[in-house]
Amino acid sequence: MRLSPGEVTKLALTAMRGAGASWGTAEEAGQAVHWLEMRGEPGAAALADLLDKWPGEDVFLTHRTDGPVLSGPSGRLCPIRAGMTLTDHRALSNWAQVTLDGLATPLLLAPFSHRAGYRREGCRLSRATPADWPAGSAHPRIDALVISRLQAHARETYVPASAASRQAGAGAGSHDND
Amino acid sequence: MLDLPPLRPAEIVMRLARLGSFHPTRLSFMPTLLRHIRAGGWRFDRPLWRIGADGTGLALYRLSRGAQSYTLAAFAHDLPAEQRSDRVIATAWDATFTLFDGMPTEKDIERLAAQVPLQEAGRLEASELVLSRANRSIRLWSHVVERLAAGRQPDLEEIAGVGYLMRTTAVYGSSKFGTADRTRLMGRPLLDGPFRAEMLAVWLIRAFSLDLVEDMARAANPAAARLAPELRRRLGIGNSTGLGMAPFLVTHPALLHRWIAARETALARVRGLGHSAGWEAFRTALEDARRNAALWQSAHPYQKAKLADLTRDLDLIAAQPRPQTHQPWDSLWRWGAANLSLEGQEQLFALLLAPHGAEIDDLDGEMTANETEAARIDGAMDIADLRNLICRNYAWALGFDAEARAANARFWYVSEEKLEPRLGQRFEEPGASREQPLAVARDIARLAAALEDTEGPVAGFLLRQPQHRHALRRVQLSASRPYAEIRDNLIRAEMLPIDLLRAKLAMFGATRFDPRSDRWLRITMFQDAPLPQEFAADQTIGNHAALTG
Repeated sequence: MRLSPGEVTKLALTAMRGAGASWGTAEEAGQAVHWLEMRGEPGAAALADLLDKWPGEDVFLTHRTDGPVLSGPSGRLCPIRAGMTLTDHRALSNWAQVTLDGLATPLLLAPFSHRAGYRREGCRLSRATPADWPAGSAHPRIDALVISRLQAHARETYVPASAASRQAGAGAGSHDND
Repeated sequence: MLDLPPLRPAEIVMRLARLGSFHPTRLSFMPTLLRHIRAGGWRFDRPLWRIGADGTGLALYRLSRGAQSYTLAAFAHDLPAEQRSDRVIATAWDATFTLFDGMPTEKDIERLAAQVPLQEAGRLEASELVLSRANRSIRLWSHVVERLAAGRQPDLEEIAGVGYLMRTTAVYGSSKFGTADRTRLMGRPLLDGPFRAEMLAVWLIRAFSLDLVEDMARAANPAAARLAPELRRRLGIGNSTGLGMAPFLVTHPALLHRWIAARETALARVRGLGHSAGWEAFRTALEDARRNAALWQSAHPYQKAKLADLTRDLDLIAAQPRPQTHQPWDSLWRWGAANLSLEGQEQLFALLLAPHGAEIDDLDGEMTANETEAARIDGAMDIADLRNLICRNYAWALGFDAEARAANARFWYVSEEKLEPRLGQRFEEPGASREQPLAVARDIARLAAALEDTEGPVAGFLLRQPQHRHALRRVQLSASRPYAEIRDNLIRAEMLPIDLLRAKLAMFGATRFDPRSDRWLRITMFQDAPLPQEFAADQTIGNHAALTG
């Protein structure tokens, strides 16, 4: 199924939020999946995989002699949170090399490492001038199963209707066929 | 131009009560679209009219210039009266539409005919720019059909009272339901501007509603009268809308800043003028505005009070002599700011802009924004600087107890049923744990509290406390965009969502704002504006002061 770029962003954002991420993190996930899908990379599928067993938002930063190490709870690191940490620290960067301990679904790190100017080899990031990686314009084709897996998370952000909310929530109730 | 007065500060402009008093100006998107159609030499035709005697079928409305074209596909349906509803939960309409990028082939039409009538339940593609639907105004539609079929013209008062034959109940674009993204239209002739595609679709829908009503009259009587040209112009297109569009201004802060900055720059340019050469045109626009106010009906007490303010203020403006100062418009503006209600001040704002196209129309090219670029976090910013930004731009959010019950009385959510924004009562309804991030004041207050006794760069703070990222992003974005934020608490008990809607709809160019409750309303669009048919041959555009004044 083809989704418009805006739908890709919104689906990823809402799924990430539904899985328990805070809004700011969910927004980054939306942008990251959009960035990947517009470059023909299966970002939506990667996010669905990540959210099946999402390690949570915690990121721990420690410093070793060979540079900073990012890690997550239970030995798994969320690539969105790791990526946010990289881009947030970019301008402060005395980080020539970064170790990512237990990085989950590495594809989702790519939009961030590209922007922050890192090249990844295994769990090691080193400084590199990012190669030009232009976006396409076609609406990305995403597997229907991937969409429904993400929608299952997204649903956690919606509020089911009640008779009262149907009336009050949208403010209907007065005559509208005249 | 003499010295330009400074732009008005955001603490004056961005209050919800003022935004809820906005009037359309010549920088609104409808008159802007019409200006660009005229200036660009665009031509209109109707390449297909395949509507049967039963009033159902397909019509195509096309605007083109050289090889470039945009085509409205209009599907007319037979809708049983009991299914006719303006609400977003409706599943059938009198007519459904899409704006197609180019001219659709028969194969495209086949696909569109299967999808467009389904609206939200259908799927569109990148070649489709807008998805919309409309219902007839029961009051006016039958009156017009009957009169025309009887060889007579409809009653002018009936037309003035309703103002339109059809009401759109949703106008979707920008990637909704598979339609093209905004990026597809970047750099495009005519449509590279805010809501241009949506406005074009609505303008063409208006023409369709006029053609269809005549066709229905002819079906009843082949010798039926045609609508008199002056009556055609008097008919706009209605729109019924509600909370669905309310969050937009909050979720597009960079764009909101650009819209408001363009308006405020326009005001400053006019105030800076050292002459009042536009005085006669100003007086003409003023008379149009008084006529508009007289015809503007609303049964809602809130709007009735505002209309009374407006009528009184228009009389006061009309009594003002032509200022003889070295900056006459500035003098008039200062008088208005001191003597008029918010409703009157914002009307005066629109009137000051009306005669000054040469000075301000270029600003319609300054009203787009890239939200993604604007939303990038600056991790290197020092927490102390962040705190200063909050003090500078968010004092309004810190001046009250954001956690108090009345301040925190409501929550915005997305309904599972229609995936539409809704407003709930936090302490009376379930669902507040699924709140949307529109409680800007409260979230900024929480961020400010979390920043106490914190130092170092933003990056370190966000590593530890990612839950504040959304609010922090807004603070950084607002640093260079003072008009990005509506400076009011959008979840307080007495907040009026219709104020949010009015601000956006006025920027569209909608008139006759008519709230039906505190959260849904009707408006009229393109009333008294030129019709597409006027661009069919080499005709000059008429005076559409009602839209610009």
